[in-house]
Amino acid sequence: MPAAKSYVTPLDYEKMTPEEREWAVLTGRADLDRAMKEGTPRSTTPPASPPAQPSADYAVVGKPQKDLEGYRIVTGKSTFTVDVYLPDMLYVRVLRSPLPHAKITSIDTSKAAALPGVYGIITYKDIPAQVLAGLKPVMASEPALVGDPIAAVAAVDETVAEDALNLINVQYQQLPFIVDPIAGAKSGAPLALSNLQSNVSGPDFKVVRGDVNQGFASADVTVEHTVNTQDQQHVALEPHIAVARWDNDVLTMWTSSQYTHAIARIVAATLGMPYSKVRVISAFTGGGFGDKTAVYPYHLVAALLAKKTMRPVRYELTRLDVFYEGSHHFQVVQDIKLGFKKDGTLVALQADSTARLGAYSRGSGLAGDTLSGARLEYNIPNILLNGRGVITNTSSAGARRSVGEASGMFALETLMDVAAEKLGMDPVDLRLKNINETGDPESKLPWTSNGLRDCITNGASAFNWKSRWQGWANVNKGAGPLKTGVGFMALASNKGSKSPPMTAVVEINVDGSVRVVQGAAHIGGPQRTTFAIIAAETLGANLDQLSVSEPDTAFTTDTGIVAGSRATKSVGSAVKAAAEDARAQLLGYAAAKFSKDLSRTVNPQDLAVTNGQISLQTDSSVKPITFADAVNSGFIIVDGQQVPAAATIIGRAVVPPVTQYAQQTYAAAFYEVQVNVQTGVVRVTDAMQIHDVGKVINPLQLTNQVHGGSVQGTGFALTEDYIYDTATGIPVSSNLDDYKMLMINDVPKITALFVESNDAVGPFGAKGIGEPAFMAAAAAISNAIYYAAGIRLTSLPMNPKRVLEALKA
Amino acid sequence: MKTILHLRVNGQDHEVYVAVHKTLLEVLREDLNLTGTKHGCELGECGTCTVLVDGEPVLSCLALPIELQGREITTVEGLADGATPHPLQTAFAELGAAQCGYCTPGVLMASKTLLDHNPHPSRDEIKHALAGNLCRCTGYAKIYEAVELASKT
Repeated sequence: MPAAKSYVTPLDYEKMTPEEREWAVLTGRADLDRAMKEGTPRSTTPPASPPAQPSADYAVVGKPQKDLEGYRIVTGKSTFTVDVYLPDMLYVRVLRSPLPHAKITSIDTSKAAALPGVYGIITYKDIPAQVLAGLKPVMASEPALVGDPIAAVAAVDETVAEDALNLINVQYQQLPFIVDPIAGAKSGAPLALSNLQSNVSGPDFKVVRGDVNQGFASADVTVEHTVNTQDQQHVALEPHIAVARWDNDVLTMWTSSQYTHAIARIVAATLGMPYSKVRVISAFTGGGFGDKTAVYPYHLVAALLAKKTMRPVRYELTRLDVFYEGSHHFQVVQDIKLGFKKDGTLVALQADSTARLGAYSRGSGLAGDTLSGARLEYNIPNILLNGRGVITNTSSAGARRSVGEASGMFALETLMDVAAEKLGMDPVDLRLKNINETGDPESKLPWTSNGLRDCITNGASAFNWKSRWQGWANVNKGAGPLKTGVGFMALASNKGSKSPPMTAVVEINVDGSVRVVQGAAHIGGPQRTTFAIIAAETLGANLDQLSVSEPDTAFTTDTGIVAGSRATKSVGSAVKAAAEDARAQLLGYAAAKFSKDLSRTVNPQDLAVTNGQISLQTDSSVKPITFADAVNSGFIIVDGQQVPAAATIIGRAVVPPVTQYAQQTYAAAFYEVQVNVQTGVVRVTDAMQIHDVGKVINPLQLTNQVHGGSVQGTGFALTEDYIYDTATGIPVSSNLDDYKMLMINDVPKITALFVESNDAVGPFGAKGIGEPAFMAAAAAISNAIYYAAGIRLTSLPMNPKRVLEALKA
Repeated sequence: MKTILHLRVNGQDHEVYVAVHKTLLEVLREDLNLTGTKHGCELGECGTCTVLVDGEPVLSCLALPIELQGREITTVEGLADGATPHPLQTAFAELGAAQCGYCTPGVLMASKTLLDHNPHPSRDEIKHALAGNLCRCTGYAKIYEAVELASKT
């Protein structure tokens, strides 16, 4: 690690919204901030990671397991929030702003209220000033984007509610608006909201390491480019929805969510209620990808209209509503520059990142996240990074499968390819030469593990890179209109980490069955199956003994969000620790029973548990006992005396945050594309991703995550684009035809390979996968397009229009 | 305006009194409590709400039940034979071809028509049959494999 002193913008927690604090935890910024503020880490020699166990030693971990919920899903019996219909329920529709920025000068709902079947209407006049969804108004008085909510109607059905919207008369005074973040950052630009001093939100995110000017002065080769990545919508297929019901002073809300506890906590705080009196349920979540992590206006619309009418209220957003009100993977414009020695050694990095925040995101954290991978993937002694967020009259920026890192990795890894050509090096060798295998130079904390070198070398071998990539002399050498080429990228990510809160309960019942009680969303991971595997392995139980609870804040504890690729590593750590607690108690009961039955002392450490059987390791002639035998031979303490009684075992865990390590996930990606130079159409024809997952918990579902991530990442690279008309501020691709996603006929063969680096703090050495799988695509595709057709595309998506323009240039 | 409709769904006759403009998706979910069929986009763009009418895939968000009286409507709830899942359901569950599972009922119904007409489809034929069904989780690879597995049983 370089000796030079580093500077990283400190976080100002007091000025941050709960959502921003959550992001800071998810993106590793909170860990970095704590490490920087505390100076020297508490221990310079963190505990060594436990030795890796070969997969063969595990009974359940590392074996392919189908989703325990799979048969419920395929028979249509899994209860998504959209399937919640309550007696006497009302339906909601919302009137939305047609203008990107305006002030409401008058609003008249009297005709709508008089329509038979209408039971409640709210506008900004009905909402107390402190009631906001994060920073978003529940109902806007100064709409700041096309689609901002203006009025909500609860009626006997959606048709009546829709009819009522047409009877609401709103007069607007149009205000100047801004869509483009670069223009918006300039002084004199129209302000996105009238209470702003500037569209630039807060101080820049800044990292200084070494001396970047000296670094570039010492460089033999310098490369730079500007990269523009687009606004995307997640398009989780289950639309956002909230169903709210009040029972006196208790609010129950069903919502399609990645984090029920946060919804309960924030809705309670917003409405001035105790957290304990808001119950949030999300049994199955139909996709999220980061878009179902926060409280939105629709949650509060449902709660407020249910309170006003004292009837259950259901608000299921239309797809258009989701495009407007949902969060967006934000547009980022990045200038990035790298300096190298002749032999390929990296000596300097400078990057500047401007993120479009939309109307209601704030701060420079999102721009900072685009720069995080560049800071940590390679050894670079001299760095200057700057990032800022710009408020605009567009849908709000938010977490989307990687937050900002996918954009940052696209900028860095395409520039590494440019550099490799200029240096005359194989792009694989250039990465291998510069990997930072030590730790975070700013926090001085070592990595929990780093398998990037193995990802790259194993992948290069499996993809047959050395024969498919034939040197820089062979760029654009194909004949005919269909040109084929291969491309490569490496990847480091702060996602997939272990972060608080991490809590779980593992119960062993009197019949020996096991219930894992945890509050994380089931959203395709499949998370409940992962937790069952971890608990079964830890306990020595059979998988069919296990059941795992659905997220319901009335019965489960807060174990954090299912986002940031954290479920396996973070929630899995909690489940493992709770299972260890339960196992210790189980062995205590079992030892007591063996002692009694054999009339000699048997200690818990003499016992082994496999396949749901507890056996005496020291004497194989003794018949093993079951979990039920052990639990039923247990005792409880009454007046200091042991009284025999069967009692459910309750193992519990609250896992502390990781303070002695920095955490990263790693991957390499190899893609082959075919470019049609007549039509500009690019097709991916072969894809391979190699991920350092620490330890494979469930190979079947891990492979599925890579398939899905690769396809979404290819959509990011080639097709998906949420476009605003800059003249009117109206989004023009807010439907599933114009917002083009990959379908089954667009998908090539995808190969998923894994490296097991044995993470020091993950359960069984595991780390996360969801977001890295999404990130490991776009740069490899861009690099492959260059190799095929000789064009460097630095704006996403790389659609036919951009390909043809580049070919003409 | 409301009217009485006679609908045959999953082999059972139903009489419902509903507004004439209600879509088949809405009637299935709201009036017949068959919530296995899901709403994705209400514009016929995502394939999530696919059901079968006389064995052919139909986007229920665009279909009017008033035009479907006397026709045989099949939803995901009608796919299994009692407690025995359809081979497609078994294959999707065993291979993890359903992840979040929200698009799965629509994909299953489109796949059923394919296998009914063509018991051993090629990859290209699967591709063609399912090209209208958006899935945001799986990356489609396991969907191919599941349809192929089901075609062998």
